[in-house]
Amino acid sequence: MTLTLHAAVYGWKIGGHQTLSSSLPLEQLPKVLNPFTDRPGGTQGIAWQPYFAGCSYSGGYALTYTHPDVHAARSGTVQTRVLLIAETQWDQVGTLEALFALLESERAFAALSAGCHLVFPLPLKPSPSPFGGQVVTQWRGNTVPVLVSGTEHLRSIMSGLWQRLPKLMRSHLGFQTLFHPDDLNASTAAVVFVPSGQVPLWSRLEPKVPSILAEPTNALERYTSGASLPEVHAILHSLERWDGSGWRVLGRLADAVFQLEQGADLRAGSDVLHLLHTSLSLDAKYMHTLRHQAVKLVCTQIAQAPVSALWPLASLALEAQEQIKVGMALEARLTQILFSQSAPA
Amino acid sequence: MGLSDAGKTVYGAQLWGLIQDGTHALKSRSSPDKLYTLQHALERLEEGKAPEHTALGTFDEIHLPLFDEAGQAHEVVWPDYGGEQLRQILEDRVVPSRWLKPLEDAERWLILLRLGQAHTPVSALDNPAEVPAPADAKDPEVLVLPTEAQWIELLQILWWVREGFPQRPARLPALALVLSCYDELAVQDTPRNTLASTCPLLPEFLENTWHPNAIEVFGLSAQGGPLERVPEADAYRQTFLESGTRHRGYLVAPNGVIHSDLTEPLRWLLERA
Repeated sequence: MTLTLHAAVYGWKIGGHQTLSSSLPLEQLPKVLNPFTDRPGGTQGIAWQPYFAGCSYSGGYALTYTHPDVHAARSGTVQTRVLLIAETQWDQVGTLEALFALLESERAFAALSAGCHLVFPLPLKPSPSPFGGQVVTQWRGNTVPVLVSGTEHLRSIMSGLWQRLPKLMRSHLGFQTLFHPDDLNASTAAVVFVPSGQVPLWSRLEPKVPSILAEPTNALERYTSGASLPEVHAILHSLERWDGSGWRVLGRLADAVFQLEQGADLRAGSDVLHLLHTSLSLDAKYMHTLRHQAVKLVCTQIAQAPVSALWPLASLALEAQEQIKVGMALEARLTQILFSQSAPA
Repeated sequence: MGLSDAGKTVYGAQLWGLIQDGTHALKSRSSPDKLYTLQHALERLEEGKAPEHTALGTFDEIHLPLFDEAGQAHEVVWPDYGGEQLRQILEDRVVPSRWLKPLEDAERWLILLRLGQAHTPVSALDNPAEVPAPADAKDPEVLVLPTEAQWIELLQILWWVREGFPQRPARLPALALVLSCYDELAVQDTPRNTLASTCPLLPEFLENTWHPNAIEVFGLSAQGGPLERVPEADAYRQTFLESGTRHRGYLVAPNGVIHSDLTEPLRWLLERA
């Protein structure tokens, strides 16, 4: 796969920290990047380490890597390498792992000296993170950033989230590595990584720093970590594309489906149907026709198929790129489960 | 206030060191909070190293409780921030919300201007051969505003935030303009004349806007010489350490007299009503 990315390097020159080189004209570099192009504010006198950050900007998503600039004339200065992923290319970037590696490589960034953008083949196969699901679970339950103690899982967590979250949610997926709790006030990141050595400084926030070491425990965690059943994954993935802004609904839906898988009671199934009808809004003009067609088709097949075959039916509809029908198929499947659960034994 | 690399942290650290020593007119009333930045900078100076660049995202206030010679209590707020933030205000024409309250509350302003790094345009009248050709004008370095125009623009933005456009100059805060890293300039003249020779527009603007009693220009070399970046830094570092890190800095008073009391601009401001 060939992917074209733009890149920039920020660092010190007379006048302060500013752009040193860029494959884009300076005026096209997103200004929201500026706060990410220096050390974090609270690091004077604190041992800090090179760190990654990520943020969305109008039209794309940026990944940054900041490291001390030992060659700079002034003490305490850094260089920040930036990769810009245009929104039109998000679908091609299945994982961020390769981009993290690229950011760390000085040689790869040598291309910048020629003032050209980078074109390179990348191994962009997704690599599921066992912990990303737990971040998502906390994220959807909080309005404050999710704090993750330690940076050792940063790449896998952010790659996992990038891979699994709906496209629109990626634009909310800002993350930072922070060294001092005071910096949290100025941070707009959804996920904050605290290097292990700095965790004692964060003692007053310690209860909110999750220990991300456990295996996924619920449907959303399983899904985000790549551990869910392929059929469940296919359906939820289709729903992401169907209504990417409804990711919180997606989470609730995933939970409800998981409960149904576990043989939960009728109430869980009712919740799912309610969500399908109210939150995952279908375009009204398609609703009437397609609903009848899809329900008729799926119900016909459901009526003749064993329950274990229902998931593949939904996946089949996905492959046909008829996402609304996927939703209908899911609805039909859930309806069938409800009927089977409400029927006498 | 000062743009990046103007010497805010060095001056703040040296000032605090002198105040702690109790050998000058201003003395400490109690230990201030959030002193870490100045303390860290002082420690670096005592090792013969220049203080580290303040990170771009930093924004904090160090409150210095002081007594003056008459025993009157004062509280000086020393903002700690990356100077790039001021440049950002200039470029974006947007003042971040965290700047609003300090700007509204401040009764006096102290501005650090490093003339040695001032960007001055090439004069088409004096040096027509050095004026960039139109093709070079795409270079962002060529398009940057002259330093004096930057400060005039910035001051007008900050006024506007404070109280609207300066229709009543008497309400403007007293202003001490400190020409930092004065040792770089190798001049013998008064600070005001030195400023006028490099950035003539700026003193014209200030004198026509501020009340004459509410503005003064000082020269300052908080370290007395360079501790990094230039070949002579290594030699100077030895002198700096041997003579005591607080004894090499000097101040050039408005009348051109050189002395070692770096607190003078602060005292001058505290005396303004």
